[in-house]
Formats: sequence, C-alpha cells, structure tokens
Amino acid sequence: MADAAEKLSISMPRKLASAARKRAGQRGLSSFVSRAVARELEREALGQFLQELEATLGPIPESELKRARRVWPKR
Amino acid sequence: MAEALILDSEALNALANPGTRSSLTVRARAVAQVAHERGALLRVPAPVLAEVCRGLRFDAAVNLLLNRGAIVVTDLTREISQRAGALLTRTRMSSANAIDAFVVATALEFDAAVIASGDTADLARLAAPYRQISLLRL
Repeated sequence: MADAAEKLSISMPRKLASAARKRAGQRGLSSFVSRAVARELEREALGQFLQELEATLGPIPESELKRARRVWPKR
Repeated sequence: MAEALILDSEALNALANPGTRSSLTVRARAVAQVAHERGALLRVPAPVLAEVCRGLRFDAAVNLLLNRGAIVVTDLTREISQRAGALLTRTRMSSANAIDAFVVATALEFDAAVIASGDTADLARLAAPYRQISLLRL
C-alpha cells in the first residue's frame, strides 16, 4: 500500500521550477519531485554504504572496477 | 535515461554478508560502485528474497542491508509476472527458471540494466534478445 501523501511547501530556483514543470506537467509535478527525492536518498544511502565497506574491507581493486565498467553501456 | 543494477541472490548475499564472501563481495562492490558513479538504481526483484531469506540467521543480514534504503525491492507485479512467463515460453525453459525470468523481466523495466549474478548461463538465454541488458558474473 502506498504511503499517505503529505502536502509540502518548498522553494526552489525559478529556472529549476520551470524546467521541472515543463518536464512533468503541472499535474505530474508532485510525482516527478517525489521520484527525484527518492532517487537522491537512495543514492546517498548507497554512497554511505560503499564508503563503510571501503573503510572496513579496503579499496576495491582497479582491475575489478575496470571489469565492472565494461558491462555498462557506453555514454 | 533510467539505468539499474539488478541483484540476484548471490549478489545480494555478497553485499549483505561482506565479511564471509570475500571474492564475490569485491566484485559485487565493484559493480555497485560503478552503478553509484553512473547514478543507476539498485534493485532486487522480490522473488529473489525467496532464495535468500531462509531463516533468522540469513534474514537478519539481508534485512539490515535493505533497511539502509540504498537497495530497493521491486514488487512482483502482474506485468512483470506475465513478461516472465513470455520469456520462459520463448526460451522453452521450465518453471524451475521462474526466478531467473522474474529477474530479466524486472531488468526490462529500465532503459538499461546490468544483472549481477553468480550464474549467468540461464539469464543469458532469457536476456539474449535484449541489447539493453548486460550480465556480470560475480
């Protein structure tokens, strides 16, 4: 079941707000912003997790990082 | 473009139990690190939990990892389930491969995805037609 929604009043730079509205449409803005916030929280949590692993287990060998990079599509 | 790193049971276990699975953990960390650098999402298809949650001793580490919020469990929806069935039909694979099919069907939710797995042979058959899916064997 989805969480109940909470209405927030936030401020953001005018240009950013305009770009978000243009991308999401006026009615889809809440969903667009919610997804963006969820992604950022996930990204921060992953960064923190990986840092903790590095502190405990040491750095990831460069050879393994190269191997992992090869499987992702080129940009 | 939404990208995702899809974790199967070996990959999830490797990250949940980093002290006891060293070589798998290094590879799982590497692919997670690259995913983080690219801004990709980390996802575990819900059926994978049926393979790794086998009692309190195993569940505790998995729950601890998932509760951090860095890796999100993707619900098994009707659409994903039916897509998985179509993959099994196309490859003439049996229901014994259902979890692999759910993993590939979940990967297809994204514009591009890497599946990290301990055994990629069956996944490779299922994902063969899809250029947006890559496989990384741990």
